[in-house]
Amino acid sequence: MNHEPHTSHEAKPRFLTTYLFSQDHKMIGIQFLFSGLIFFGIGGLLALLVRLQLAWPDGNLPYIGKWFPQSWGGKMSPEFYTMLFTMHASIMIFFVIIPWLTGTFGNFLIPLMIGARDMAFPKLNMFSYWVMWPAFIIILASFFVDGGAASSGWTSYPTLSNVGAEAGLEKIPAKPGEPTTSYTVFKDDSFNSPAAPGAGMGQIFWLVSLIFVGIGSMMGSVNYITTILNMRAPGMDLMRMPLTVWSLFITAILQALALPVLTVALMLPLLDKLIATSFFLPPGGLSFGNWHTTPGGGQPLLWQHLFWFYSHPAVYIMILPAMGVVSDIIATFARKPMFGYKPMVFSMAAIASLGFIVWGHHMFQSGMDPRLGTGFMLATILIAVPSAIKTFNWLATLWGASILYTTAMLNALAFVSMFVIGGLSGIFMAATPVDVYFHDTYFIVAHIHYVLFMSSIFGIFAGITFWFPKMFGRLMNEPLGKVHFALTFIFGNLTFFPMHILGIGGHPRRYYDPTIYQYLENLQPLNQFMTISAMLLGLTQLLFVINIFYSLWFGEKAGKNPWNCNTLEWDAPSPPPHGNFEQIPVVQRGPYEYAIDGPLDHLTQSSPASEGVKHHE
Amino acid sequence: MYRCWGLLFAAVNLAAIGLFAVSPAMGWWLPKNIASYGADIDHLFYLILVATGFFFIVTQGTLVYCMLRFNAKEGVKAMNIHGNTKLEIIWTAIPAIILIYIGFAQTPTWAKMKYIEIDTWFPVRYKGTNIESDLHVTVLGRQWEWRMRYPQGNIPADPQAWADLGNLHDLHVVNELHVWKDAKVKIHLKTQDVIHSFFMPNLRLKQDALPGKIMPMVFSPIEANVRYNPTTKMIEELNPSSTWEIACAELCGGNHYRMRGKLFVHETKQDYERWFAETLKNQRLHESPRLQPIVAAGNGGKP
Repeated sequence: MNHEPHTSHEAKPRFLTTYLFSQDHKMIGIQFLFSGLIFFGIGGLLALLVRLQLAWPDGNLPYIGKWFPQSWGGKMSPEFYTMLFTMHASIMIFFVIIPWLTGTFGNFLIPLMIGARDMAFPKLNMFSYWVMWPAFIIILASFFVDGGAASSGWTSYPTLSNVGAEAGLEKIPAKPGEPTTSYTVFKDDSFNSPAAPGAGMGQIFWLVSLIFVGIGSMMGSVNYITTILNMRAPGMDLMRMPLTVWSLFITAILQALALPVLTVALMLPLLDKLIATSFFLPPGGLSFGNWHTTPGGGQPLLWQHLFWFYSHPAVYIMILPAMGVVSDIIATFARKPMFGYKPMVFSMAAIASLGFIVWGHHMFQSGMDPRLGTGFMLATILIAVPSAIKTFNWLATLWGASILYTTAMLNALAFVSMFVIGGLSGIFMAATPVDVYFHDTYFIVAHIHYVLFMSSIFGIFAGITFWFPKMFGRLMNEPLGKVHFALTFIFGNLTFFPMHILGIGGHPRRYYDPTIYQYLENLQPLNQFMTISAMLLGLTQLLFVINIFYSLWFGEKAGKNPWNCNTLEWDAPSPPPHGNFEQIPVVQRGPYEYAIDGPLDHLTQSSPASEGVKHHE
Repeated sequence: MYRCWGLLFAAVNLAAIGLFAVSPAMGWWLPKNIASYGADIDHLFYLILVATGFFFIVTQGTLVYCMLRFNAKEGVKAMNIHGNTKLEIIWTAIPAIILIYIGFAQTPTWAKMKYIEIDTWFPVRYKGTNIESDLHVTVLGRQWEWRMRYPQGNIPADPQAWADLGNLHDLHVVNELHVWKDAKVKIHLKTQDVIHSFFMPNLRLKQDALPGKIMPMVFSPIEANVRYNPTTKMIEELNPSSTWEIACAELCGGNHYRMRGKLFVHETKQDYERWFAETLKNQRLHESPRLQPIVAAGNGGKP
């Protein structure tokens, strides 16, 4: 069912309803784009501080040293360091990659690519962005609360993260003359935690913020599923949908099923902290120096199961949309039909469904029985099969192609190349005995950055460059885009590839100062090399920001279809008005009719069928 | 001009291969293995390295070839192919077979690490139980050190109860794990505050310590690194490069990185027992009433 466009009748769209409280899916997508960009900068700066500490752990930092409190002596404190990587990961995952992939691409592209005027629930869609704002404010405020922001890692394993001061007793040493020591209820209104300074108020803020993110994403995913199932243009069968829409559809299903688990699970440590429940406090209680908790009845492993039941599917939430985006961009600029459309769809579905039964591989070192672990191991190792299928199909699409090297295409090709590295390094961890050694070393850090930075972010760069003319009516600057791509590709690899070697050397992650270990001493030059590369990588990203803002006002004006692409969004004007299409297109064929016989080079999905044209079923 | 993109991809991938090639020579590689099952793990690592290396070269090579060969040319259209079922089956089956092989090839090694005896490679046929150990040690993680507790006579009567409650005659040492060569060691891993992870890179072994639980770890070192000198009553390293360290691998607070311990493998059981006797004597001498509660409690520091 499609609604008629309604803004055409309104006299003047006002600023507030157009740019802020917009129910237009395109504006909501663009809002996600810019808030993601801000957090990308914050998360990146946090990462650079982490790298700075790793490269020169004992040196006083020349310029930023004086920003730190005097008691730290011109260095960052170990607690501050743990806060840095915790917030880096949390921000990059929950405020950059997921909002960019599902928020920006999901919102902007789904209605346009399936030929709908808007989302099924435009108001719900607006709320899905607006509940992000409490999350933004709370996560940023958490840097300034007593004890600093959360510092228990983005995984926030209890009991480091959940112990609240209320749950304990303080030991009062025996006074001379008194027979025994006594205990008193620990009175502290500040929610401080004995486990770590950041595990107090900062952790509470972190939990609340993520609950808002969870609610927002859940609203989004319900909207995406409904829209895709009910609002496709006439003729748009499921098997004619572009792979981007397929990937967003599968991602939305993953989110709808997995995210409620995390959102509810986040309540448990919050209750532990606020009203001294003991979901994760073991029966015997805990001791932190002179401070003892009351006996609990919980189990810290519970959190790991709940957390990874969401967070492993979340890894696929953070890569599947990029796979879809990259598939469409590669077919467009290879000027060749996507090789194996159906295997591509089925392999994404396979990745998503296998993704639900592999969470245990994060817990091999938590004391898992090999008989149970074998199941998780086999499922994990099998996920490599659909990933391999996708890679081979991308390569087959490029074989015999007619490649146009645009910035979007280069970023998409980099995605394929980097995803191969990130995928292959995963096989080491799927082999349990090898994983026992690699678990929590830099090998894992290398793997996650090859998947999330080198793959997903390249996919995002490709997508933003590709759909920028549709969003704003202007093309991004190509030479600047290419320089940004080349430098990101080079410095990204120089930053992240040596992490594999560090991991093989046994370098544990999350170390404030690795140099106190003899066996890590000769890895230190690599650490310094990576830090310099990371600084250059960070600087390179300024080019991307400059390009976006430059092109917003001064970019070359784009027509309806600057890339000669087949999918429906290119039928709409650039940028499309509220309501998207002058007339809802009627879909005639699949999205990948490139290199067709006859005088034409390609056939868009909506162009009327003509004689002598070979059709894909 | 278009060629520079293919060459850039080629250069980056060659550099990646190059880094793996030079790293062992630079000493950026696996630390020395001293575990009885360690050779199996390293073998598995190299097996996967070869398999993934092969696919890395094939896929990246194809990508670079396509980028160099199939750029857009005036008047030339791309091939109009939508897929090929035979090809899909081939490139589904080959990785699947290799991966399932890797999956099953690793199960005996994992069983070996857990000292479970299995009769076939098929994972559901585990039938054995843990083997007898020669030496029991309780390791208690806390912010931020490892507290080791050794029983008199190496094997307590009821290891589980001993690991839980301890014994007045136990030897307490901080951050030093002493064993002897070829001993079958069983560690009872505990924590009194947050999750820690006991990581011994040379033994390729890592285990999380979970609050409220006693986690077993078993290993057997095949090489010694210290000798007990009866005249000086001191431990001497056999050679200066053989310091084997213990690290914490699970974030446990700000000083997570400082949970550094050392592994001492004595040459013989007699050497270990001489060290034990001498250290216990010193402990008795220095034991003050203030330390008594720790000795007596030994149960996770509970009051």
